[in-house]
Amino acid sequence: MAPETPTFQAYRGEEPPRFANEAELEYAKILDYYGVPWLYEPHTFVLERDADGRVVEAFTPDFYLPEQDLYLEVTVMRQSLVTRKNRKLRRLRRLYPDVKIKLFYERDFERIAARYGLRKAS
Amino acid sequence: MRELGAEIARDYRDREPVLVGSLKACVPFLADLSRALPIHHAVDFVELAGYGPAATGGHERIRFLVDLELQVAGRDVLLVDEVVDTGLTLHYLCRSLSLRGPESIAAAALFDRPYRRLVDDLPLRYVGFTVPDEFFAGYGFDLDERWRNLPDVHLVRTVDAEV
Repeated sequence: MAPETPTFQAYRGEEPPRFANEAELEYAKILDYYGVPWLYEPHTFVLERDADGRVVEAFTPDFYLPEQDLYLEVTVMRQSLVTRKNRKLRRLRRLYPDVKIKLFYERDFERIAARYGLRKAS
Repeated sequence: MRELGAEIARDYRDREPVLVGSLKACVPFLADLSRALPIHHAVDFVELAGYGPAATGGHERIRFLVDLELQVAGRDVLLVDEVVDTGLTLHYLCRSLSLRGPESIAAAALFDRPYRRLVDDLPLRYVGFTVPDEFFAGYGFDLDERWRNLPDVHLVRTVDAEV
């Protein structure tokens, strides 16, 4: 089931964000609470095209903080999928060296959840 | 602490900064830093409402529970915190206080966890130690408001007890 979508104050997008999991929602709430302007999945970076120019691999970071020109990617995946995501991230950094992006793992969310007394993402 | 005090004193020579502590954990650190700072300076405090499970988007937002008594317009503000990790609190404080027209804003922290930053544009100029991603108690760090009074910083280990 898709997580709830509260009304946000620091969200700078036009369409209501549709989060993929509870961890993304909690990160959004935290950013919003502290008044840090954010967007949800505003940009997709093409990583690979086939011979006909069709996109065969792309990466869409979860959050973009426009005031800091910074992307955040939140992952609560199992390790095998995290490895795949790490590979995409390395590729993105190679193809788009000026793009600032940070990857947050499940353990990062657990730390934040423990600090703020949140429920752990399922 | 002496090294931090000397570094700050060197940078603020011939100026009189306002040390702004972010309550509550900063109290021992700020007290020691203040005593290690051989230049004139003022001390004041703020307290911010922390994020909690009750906060939901659109309903709650960070706010001052305790605001400064001093006017900081035209003054050099040095924010003092016990630890900086996500940077969100410090980011909010810098943004809020910059609206009051200070001459400058910088920050000092006893501990830093730079690998946990969610925001980057922080004027964190003075850091005691970069620390691992662990919980601490003592020297202002609390567990449910206990243990702040311990004179040293202790690493907290969670032990799973069988019922």
